[in-house]
Amino acid sequence: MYNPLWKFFINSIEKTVQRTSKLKNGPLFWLLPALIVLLCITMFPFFYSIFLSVMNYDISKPYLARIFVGLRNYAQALTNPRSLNSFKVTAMFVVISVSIQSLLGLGIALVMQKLSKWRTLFIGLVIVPMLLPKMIVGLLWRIMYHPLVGIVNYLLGYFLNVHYVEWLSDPSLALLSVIAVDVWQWTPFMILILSAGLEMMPKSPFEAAQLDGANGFQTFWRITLPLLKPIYIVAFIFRLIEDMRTFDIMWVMTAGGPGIKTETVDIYAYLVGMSRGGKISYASSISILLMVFTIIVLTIVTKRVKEN
Amino acid sequence: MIIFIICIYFPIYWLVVMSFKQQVDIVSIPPKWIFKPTLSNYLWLRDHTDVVGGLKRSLIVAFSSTVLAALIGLPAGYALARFNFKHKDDVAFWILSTRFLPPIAVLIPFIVIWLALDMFDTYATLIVMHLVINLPLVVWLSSKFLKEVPVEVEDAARVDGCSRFAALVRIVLPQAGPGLAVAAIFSFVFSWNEFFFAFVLTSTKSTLPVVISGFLAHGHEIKWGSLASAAVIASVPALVLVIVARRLIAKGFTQMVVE
Repeated sequence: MYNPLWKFFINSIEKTVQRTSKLKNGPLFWLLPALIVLLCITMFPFFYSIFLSVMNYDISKPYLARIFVGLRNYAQALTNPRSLNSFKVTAMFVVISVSIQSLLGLGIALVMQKLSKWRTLFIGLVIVPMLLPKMIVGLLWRIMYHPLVGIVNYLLGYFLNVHYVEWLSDPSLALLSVIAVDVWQWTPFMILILSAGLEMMPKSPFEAAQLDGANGFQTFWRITLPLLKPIYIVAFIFRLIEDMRTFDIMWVMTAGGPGIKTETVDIYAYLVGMSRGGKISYASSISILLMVFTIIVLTIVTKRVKEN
Repeated sequence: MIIFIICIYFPIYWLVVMSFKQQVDIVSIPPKWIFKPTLSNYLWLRDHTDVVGGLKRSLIVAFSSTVLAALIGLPAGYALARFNFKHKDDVAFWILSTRFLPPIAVLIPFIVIWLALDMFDTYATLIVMHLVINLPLVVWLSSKFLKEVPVEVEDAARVDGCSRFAALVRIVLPQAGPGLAVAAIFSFVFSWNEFFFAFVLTSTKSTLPVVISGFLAHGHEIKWGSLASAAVIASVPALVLVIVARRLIAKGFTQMVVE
């Protein structure tokens, strides 16, 4: 029964099947689940965070009328001394920690390159601190830093005759102690990446340099370093971003103390927003500021690099 | 070099040793290098605390999160590796940029959501939260590794009649295997080690790191030995992975760097 309606029906089915198989062959089909999930999980909280930061939500004061307060939270965040201190602490922590890690990592990676026989073994060994839970690392070092029974003080007393250093309670030492822990845990990361980069380097420039009679130092400065730069930058940026968000280590070791000497932005926002206050709006504004801060630092670093 | 290795490993060695010491031996000065080892710390953990539960929960959360991230992220990575479409670089950058978000910025809105849905203290909560970090990581890593696989083999298979999906499973995946395994390993380790989200979002049914942090709040004498034992238990995945997958990780890392 060749009903024209029938024909139309079959035609449209054919078209839909064709279109779906075209869709199936296109990128969207594959990407879609991931995109949707990511959108919900990250974009939505992000926008809600922004929304929160311009309101005056406060969990601990449910009776307060929820009104739009514009940029008041941001103004407060930028003038409050404690908040400014937290930014300063974070900046100091990140700068010192990442610098030490990069330099140390580079040195060790170079040494490992010379001992190429042992390289895989070393890499396997060196990876371990990175994989440990940050919180456990914090705990471990807290035990070791204990003024009376910690191993660090004991060794110092034994070898250098320095006694009773209060690593985590002394206001001037606390931040450095935490930085030391971060360096201990994450220098392997730099080592790993730099070492991989060193492996990948082409041999020809080195041979040319040798032919031209360059000594070791010159080779390093003019050839190794520039070749290594892109990878170095990637690792550097990676660590920068990660270190901006330290909560685990610090919380377990000092919980922001003594006083507020090691209170990073993350810890501050947590205390203000969740555990000791309910000012989620204010905390949101702080966290958004942190993100802006991160992006600013990132752009500065990338620009500096591109100029070179 | 040797000094460096010693520096790296001494704390770890100290931790493991401490977990086998009795309390008396731990707090004695000078520290006892030779002592009578005991399992009492581990036993105490099993009898008096929720470490076993924490272990179980950590395992469930980490495993599910990794599997979920892999299921969703792999196809996305494949799309980024193989197709060329408008705004592709933008999409890739955006996926990567989700790492810039400080966890707290994500956390606060989610607290509101989970409160409304009454889903505090559940597995699903943590699994979804961990996806925030795991998913971009998997997508990025898998797109990199999948790009390494030459297209010709896959095209040949498709010419022979394979659908894209079948080609992906049979041909591309085995070749990119090591790289993808690295991505999965990193996701798992991250989820296992994760503390912040779990700390805030769970109370009675928490993952291992949070359970351990509960030991600190005892007020009186902190049982260092048990703390150390718990820490050793929590570090087990890392150590196991290193032993088992040492070459894999090294190779994966190397490949990852070659942009």
